[in-house]
Amino acid sequence: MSKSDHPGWLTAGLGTATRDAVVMALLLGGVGIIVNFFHPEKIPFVADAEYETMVPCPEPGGLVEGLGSDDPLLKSEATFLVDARPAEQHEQWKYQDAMNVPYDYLDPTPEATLLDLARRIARSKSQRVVVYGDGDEPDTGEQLGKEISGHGIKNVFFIRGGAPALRPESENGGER
Amino acid sequence: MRNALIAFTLIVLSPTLGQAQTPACDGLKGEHAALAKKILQSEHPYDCCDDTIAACLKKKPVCALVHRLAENVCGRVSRGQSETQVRRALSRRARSMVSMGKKAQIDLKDASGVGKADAPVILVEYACARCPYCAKITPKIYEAVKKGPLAGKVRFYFKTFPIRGHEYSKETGLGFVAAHRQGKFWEFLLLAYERFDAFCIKKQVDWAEEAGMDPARFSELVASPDVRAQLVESKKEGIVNGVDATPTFFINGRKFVGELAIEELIDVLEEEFDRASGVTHRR
Repeated sequence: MSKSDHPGWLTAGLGTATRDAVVMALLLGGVGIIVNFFHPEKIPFVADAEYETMVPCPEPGGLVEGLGSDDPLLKSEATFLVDARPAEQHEQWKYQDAMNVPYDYLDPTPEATLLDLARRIARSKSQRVVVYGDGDEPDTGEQLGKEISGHGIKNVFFIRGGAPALRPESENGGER
Repeated sequence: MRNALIAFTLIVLSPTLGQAQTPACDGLKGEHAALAKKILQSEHPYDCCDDTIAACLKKKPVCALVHRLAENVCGRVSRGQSETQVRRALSRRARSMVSMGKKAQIDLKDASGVGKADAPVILVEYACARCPYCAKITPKIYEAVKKGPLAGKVRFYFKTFPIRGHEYSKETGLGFVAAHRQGKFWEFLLLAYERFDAFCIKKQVDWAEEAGMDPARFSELVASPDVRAQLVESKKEGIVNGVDATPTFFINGRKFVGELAIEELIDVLEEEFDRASGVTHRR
């Protein structure tokens, strides 16, 4: 499409938008300079000292909330269950139809796994995700929950006490 | 005549007594002096004296902590920090130094340490081998403990806490543990942090050799499940102790939540040393 093929309103619209953007930038820049002038701690236009960003490095993750092993939310159909334990332990016993996403303290969970998890959660139309792990201190369920939550999945919970708290005593060797 | 002499002495001496009496405070002028005065007259030290810092400075002998806090406040003001920044820093320092919470349980058996073995102050840092901030501050602390103002006062331990979001944090963390097992931890850490920006995973073995390690043994250790298990334990311990970012410091078991600047750390560690050594007042 050549320039002459553009409808007139489009080229005129682009010109107006550009002009408005320049005017707004100048106006806002002016306001910023005036505010800075009257501000008690003026920001220098040119850095007067070497600026070094010294920000601690956070462990990536979001917020999670703990639930008791007898919480009614566990039985809800709108709950998507995730097992953070290693695959072998998941094979031996799992709570209901929990999906296995093994948590590792050193390696991040692969993006493909997290994407698969997100798709399954979306398909299931669940309203929350409940993760259970080894129940140790720290608990892999809580850690995986934080990782999942940090990837933008909302309403993530973990089970306090993890799998040992969920597993019936008869299957738990009395460890519950 | 006697009364006149007393009055004269008071008049002559009172402005001097009214000054802050710390080098940093006495050097302030104009707006800075006014701001420091305002803060010192309203903030209280968290130990040693019940009055405001300004009032405590006038009591003789002066509490060592009060003098230290006044120096800290005036130093911050002279560096151009705002009132809010200074007050926040004081509050965070107080939370770090008089924490009432449970002390962290830190296993130092398998951690690399530097400094006097029986120093009264134990500083533990949880850090990631690929954390840029750790790469800046850790060598400075090492220097301060080894031959600087903290020599003989502080024993400094390093615990590896790989941040999962950092590329190669696991591999370099394993390298740190492997270096510890070969007795070349600090040599390797200093080299790795000095060349932080030049890092690539293929260079790790070369650096290990440069730090005085047997490269074959180093590679073997890095691949060993036992070394991995030690790294995982170090990370888990950090999580239990509330570490969620690096660097995180613990001073005699208390989490330090103050400003993470080398000057501040040295100052609080010296404060802790004074406390542990029973030094409460300045002579």
